[in-house]
Amino acid sequence: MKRTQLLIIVGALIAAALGIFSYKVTRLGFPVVPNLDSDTWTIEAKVSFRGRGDPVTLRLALPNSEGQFTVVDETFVASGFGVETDTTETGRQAVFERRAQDGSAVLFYSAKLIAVDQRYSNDARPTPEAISDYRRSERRRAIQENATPLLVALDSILTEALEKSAGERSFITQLARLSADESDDRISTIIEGGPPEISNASDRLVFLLNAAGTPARHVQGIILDTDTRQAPLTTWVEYWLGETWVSANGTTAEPLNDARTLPIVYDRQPIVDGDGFNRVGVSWSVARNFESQLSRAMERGSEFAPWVNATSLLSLPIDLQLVFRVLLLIPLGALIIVILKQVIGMPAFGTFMPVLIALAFRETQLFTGIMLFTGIVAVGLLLRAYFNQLQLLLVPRLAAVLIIVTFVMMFIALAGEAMGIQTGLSISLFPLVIITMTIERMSLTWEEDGAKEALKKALGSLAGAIPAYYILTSEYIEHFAIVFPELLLIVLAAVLMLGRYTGYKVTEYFRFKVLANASDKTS
Amino acid sequence: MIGFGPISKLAKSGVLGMNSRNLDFIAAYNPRRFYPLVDDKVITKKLAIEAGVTVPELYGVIRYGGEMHLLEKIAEKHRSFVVKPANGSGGGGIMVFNGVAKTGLRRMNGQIMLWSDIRYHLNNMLSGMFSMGDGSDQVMIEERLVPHSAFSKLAFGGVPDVRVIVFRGIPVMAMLRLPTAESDGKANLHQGGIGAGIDLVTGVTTRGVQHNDSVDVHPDFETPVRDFQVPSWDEILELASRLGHHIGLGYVGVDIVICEHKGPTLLELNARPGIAIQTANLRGLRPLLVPIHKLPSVSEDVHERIEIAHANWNGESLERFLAPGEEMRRH
Repeated sequence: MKRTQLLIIVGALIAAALGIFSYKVTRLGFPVVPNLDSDTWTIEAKVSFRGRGDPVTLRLALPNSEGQFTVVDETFVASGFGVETDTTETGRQAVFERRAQDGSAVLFYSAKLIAVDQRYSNDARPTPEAISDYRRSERRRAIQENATPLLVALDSILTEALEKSAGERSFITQLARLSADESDDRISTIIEGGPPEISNASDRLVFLLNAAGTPARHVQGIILDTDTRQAPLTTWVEYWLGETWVSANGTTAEPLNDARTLPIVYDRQPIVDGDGFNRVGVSWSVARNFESQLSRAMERGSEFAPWVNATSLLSLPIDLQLVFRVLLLIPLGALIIVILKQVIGMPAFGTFMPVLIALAFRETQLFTGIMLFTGIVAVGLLLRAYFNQLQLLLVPRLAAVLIIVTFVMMFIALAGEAMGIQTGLSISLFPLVIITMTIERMSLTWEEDGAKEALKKALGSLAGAIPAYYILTSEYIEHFAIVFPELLLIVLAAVLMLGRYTGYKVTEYFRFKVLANASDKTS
Repeated sequence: MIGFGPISKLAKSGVLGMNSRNLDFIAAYNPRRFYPLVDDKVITKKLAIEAGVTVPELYGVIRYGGEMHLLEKIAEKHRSFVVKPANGSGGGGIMVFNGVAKTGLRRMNGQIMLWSDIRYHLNNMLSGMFSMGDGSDQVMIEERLVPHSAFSKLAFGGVPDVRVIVFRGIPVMAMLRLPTAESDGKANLHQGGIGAGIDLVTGVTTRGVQHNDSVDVHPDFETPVRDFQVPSWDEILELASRLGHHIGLGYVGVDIVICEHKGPTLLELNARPGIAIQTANLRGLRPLLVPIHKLPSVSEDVHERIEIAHANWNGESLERFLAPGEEMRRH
């Protein structure tokens, strides 16, 4: 009875999943395989601030369509605010206005960026002019009139770079090399005597290039790299070379990949300004868009089957989409756990620990993750053993270990930063409480059943996390999960079926080997 | 069932796997609402007395930290006693004392445990560290059972017990659990105790295992663990059968201590008895459980149930135990 009910449910789930899936693939043409070289992106800016009860005018710098990307589908979400876009000499801006704003407010801007091939754009742009008070002709004259140390140093550097180079590109490279060397007396002269806004190597490079007559400018923008909810604002330089602006690293002048750089403001213009508010913060999120095949499928869907789009996760704001890209992998993780526990019989602490560890590893990469995990757990075990000697009550002891684990993480983050290893962001997502519980359970097992049992379970937990990690990081599986979430119904069906699995676990074969062999002899 | 060689060999030997135990027997025969009856040892004790079964005397219960002084009073009066969490599992947290000193209590190994250490341990028990589920627990203080003298050369530093699996009130399989130096006086197999399979009809041990490996002698005494006649065997079976029938759980593990003075005494019940007993007996549980599962009804008479148990152990058909007009169940 229970069996038939279950079979009906499982059958219905699988049929529904496959039905929706095949409709989406065959009729609407949803792509089954992700196109990883897609060149459209969605960016989103979230501006939060506090009003003081006065009229608010807030100007947000926007990316423009002059570079490698065309900006389309711009949307603003700003309830209660008037919005207009405005192009000035310094770039494009969105101006948000409101008569009075009291308390905190959040504004959203999102836009789609489509890469355009510059070779086919025929509107030749005017060559910009290098802006500098120290250009060659002015410099010569100034030196003759009054040879200040700054002018001499400047001239000497430019001459050296020129002598050592064969063309314009190598001149720029030489200049960057010279300007990065702060032990050079000429550079320190420029730092001391130059314009006050020169504070670092990339400032100097822009200053020197302009003085040499090559138009150059400072850029603040975003490197479009991976999907992220916290895209950092990056600084680089652009110089005019061969009829086009070239983006380059501020210290080495090495060109950056144009298809991945999105300039937002130039020459130290602020990203946000205006008045009537304080505590302003801007965060950017970036997501690589699904390829045009997918958008065509979505368009077709809106014609024939509006429900497909209405239920598609791709219609969510990208902030949420990125969350779901992780969340939708959790059912798969759960399936792995069920298989590991019910069919294989792997020992582990707690039921879903391996999946949670795997989710943490997703942020840290596998190797660093395993090192961090073992390190923190080892430190925690030592401390717990000590606290046990102090005879603390159970819950306070857990709390104490939790606090110490927090400190250990902080310490690792600081040490990592000092040694230039990127761990800081990732371990903050490490599930603190889970680690603490692991430590507690592990030390209990250690005391009661011995070190062997405890290590066996710890290894089991880690071993379970590794396959889960590979599944949770596969781009193909991620694509399937977000484009075809209905396939997760099959995962549900599989889990339900395994819920009535009464067969042996793999480990039981080893456990009862004697019995199996004994029955062999008698029969 | 299609399967690889090793798995189908396992199936042929009749081994009961963890998944099958959980679904086919525990889920099917043990209603969840009865679990507290066996998980809480205070309730179990009441039920056992109802069923006419001998239990260790309960000296007192500590419910919260403020009642800690009870322990000192009991220690003064009885000197020898056991402290255990009421909802404990797997023998965790159990402490045995056999004397009182000024600074604390004397443990079985002769060491004195300081009062402060005892209070800390009791607090851990009260906060549920050794208990099933989470949250708080109670501490039971009960009579220390003195093991039967027959075990003097078989049990190291602790109390041996007999685990009987009872299915629908019928004893199905049994093993003797012997503490060793390695298991620190505990009779649990996974802590290094010895499990010895018992012939259910005669009560004589057939073989011993430690850590899943066959052993012939007790590692601490060099005494043989097989061919040992468990004392009061018939009473043990009767106790197990009576209690298994009374408790309302179809599939239950009954742990019995054979006390020098009181005879077979109930230690505790287990609603999820482990499957390691099969290795100790070198026999799968499934062929013993299935015939009983097929019985449409089970006798109210404990002697008839034991007769069924004997016949079942010997592999005889249970047809003759059908009441007139009854038929075996198909599934």
